[in-house]
Amino acid sequence: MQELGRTRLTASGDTITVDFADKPNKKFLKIICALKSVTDVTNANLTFNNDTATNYAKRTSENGGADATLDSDDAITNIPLLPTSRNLPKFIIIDVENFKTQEKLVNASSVDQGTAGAANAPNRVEGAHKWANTTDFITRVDIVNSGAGDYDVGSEVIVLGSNFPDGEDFDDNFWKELGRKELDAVGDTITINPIQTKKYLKVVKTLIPSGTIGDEMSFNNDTGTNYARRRQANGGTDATAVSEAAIKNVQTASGLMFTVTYILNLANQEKLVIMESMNATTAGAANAPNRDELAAKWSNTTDLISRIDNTNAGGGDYAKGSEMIIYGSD
Amino acid sequence: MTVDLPIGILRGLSTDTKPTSVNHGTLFFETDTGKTFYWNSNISEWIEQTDEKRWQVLGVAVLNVAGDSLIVQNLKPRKYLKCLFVCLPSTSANGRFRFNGDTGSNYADRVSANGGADAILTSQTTTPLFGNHVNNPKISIFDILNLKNQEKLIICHVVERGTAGAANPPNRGETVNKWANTTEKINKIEAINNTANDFDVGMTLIVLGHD
Repeated sequence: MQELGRTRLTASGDTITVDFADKPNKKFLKIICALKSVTDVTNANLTFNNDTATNYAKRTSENGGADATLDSDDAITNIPLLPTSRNLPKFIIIDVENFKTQEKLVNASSVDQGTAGAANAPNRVEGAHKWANTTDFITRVDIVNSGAGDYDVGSEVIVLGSNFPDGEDFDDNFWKELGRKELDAVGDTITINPIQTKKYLKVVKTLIPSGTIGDEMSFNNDTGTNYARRRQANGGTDATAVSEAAIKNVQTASGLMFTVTYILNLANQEKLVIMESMNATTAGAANAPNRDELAAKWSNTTDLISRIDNTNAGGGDYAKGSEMIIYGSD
Repeated sequence: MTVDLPIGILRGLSTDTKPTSVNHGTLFFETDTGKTFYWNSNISEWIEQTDEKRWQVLGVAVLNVAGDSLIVQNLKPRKYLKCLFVCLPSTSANGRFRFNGDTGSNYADRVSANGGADAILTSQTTTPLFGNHVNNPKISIFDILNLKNQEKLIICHVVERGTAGAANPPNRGETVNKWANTTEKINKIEAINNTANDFDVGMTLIVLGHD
C-alpha cells in the first residue's frame, strides 16, 4: 500500500495526528501505531477527521476475554482501542474500510509488552469498531492518549492506503522484501540471516509437514530464555508462557501451517509480536482447520532483529518447499 | 566486498539505507532491460525482482446490478493471495465463498463470532466468512495460502457494521477456513449469497497476489 502520511513525535505528548487530505479517496487504509510511554500510563483512542462527537462504537476483547462494547449511549467520542491504560510500549495494526457512503469499519490488533522482561507475558487486544459517518472519506487520523502519562519521543503513527486499481502493480512503497528462504530438502530450521534492520517487520511462513511439526521463532540466534508469549488456540482461554527459549506456537501440527506475523523492531525496546496462524489438521473437508492467535515479545532492549530462525520442535520435519518470507519498512 | 553485477547497462544503483555493521542495506540494480535486481547477501546472489514476487492486483469486481454473486476469475496462479471484500447486502444477505466453481462438499471452517466459542463446520459446499445472515455491510480481509498440491488455507477477519448508527456496536468474526482441493491453484473466487435477497450495488471484491 502507498504511504499516505506519518507523524513521529519529537517531543512527548498526548496526540499524534496524521493528516493526508492531499491524498484523499483511498477506500482501504492500514494504520500502524508504535507508541512508547516511559512515565505513567497511556492508552490509545482513535478518531477520524477530527470528529469528537459521539459517532463511534467499539468492541474489544482483551487477552482473550469476553467482548466488551461501548457506543454513543456510553458517550464515547472516539474509539478506545485499548481497554486498559498501561505504562508500556504498544504496537497496533489497524485495517479500515473507507467507503464514502458507508459507515467506516475498523479491525484492530494490538500487543503491549507487559511488565518488562521475559518473565512477564505481553498483553493483547482485538477489536472491531466503527465510525458512523456516511458522507466523508477519512483524510485524518488522530491517536490520542487520555491516560495520566504521555507518549514518548519517537512514538509514531503511519497511515497506508490504496484503491487497488485492477490489473496493476499497486503503489506499494511501504513493505519491501528483505529476504526469503525456501527449503530445497526436508529440514528442521528455516533461517534468514542477515536481514536488513527495519523498524517494522512482516513475516509470512508456509510450513509443510513431513510428520508432526512445531513452529518456534527466534531472533538473532538468541536461544536464551528471553521470550514470552500469550497464545489463544481455537478461541479458548489465553495461555501464557514466559522465559522461553523461543516464541513457541503450535508444537504438534500434522497439517500444513500458514502464519502471518507483524513485529515492532525498536533497538532499545522489547520487540513486540502479533502473530496469527492456522493449520489444516487432518486432510479433507471433514476436518476443520485449527487457528492460533499470539502476542509475544523478545525481551532484548539493545539490538535490532537482523536474523530470524524458525525451528521445528516436532518429531517430524519441515518438508521441501516450506518457506519463510520477511518484509520490512522503517 | 566485491560482487559481480548482473548483465545489462546500469540504469540505477541505490541503497535504501546506509549499510552498517548491523544494517546490511539493500543494493538495487536496475538495467536497461527494465529488470531490477537486489543483492541477497544471505546467498551472495543477485535476485531478480520479478512480477511474480511483487504484490499485484490480480482482479477487482464491483457489483453494478443487485444480485447474488460477485466473481473474480482468471487469476494468475500466485502462491499467496490477499482478498478485500466489502459486502453490501440489500436485505438479509450473507457472504459465502467458493473457489474455482467447486460446488462439492469440500470446504471446512472454524468460526468465532464476537469472541465466542469456535463453531466448526465441515464438508460444506461454500465457505463462510461470517456466520450471521444480517442486513449489514461488512468488510472481510483474508490471507490465503494457495499451494497447488496442498489444501488451501485461509485466515480471515470480519467487521460487520451492526445496526446503523453509533448507538449500535459492530460485530466481529474470526475464521480460518480450508478448501480441501490438492490439485489446483485458486484461479476463481466467487462471493455467493444463499439467502432469498440480494447483494447490493457497489459491493467490491479485490484479489491481490504474489509468489
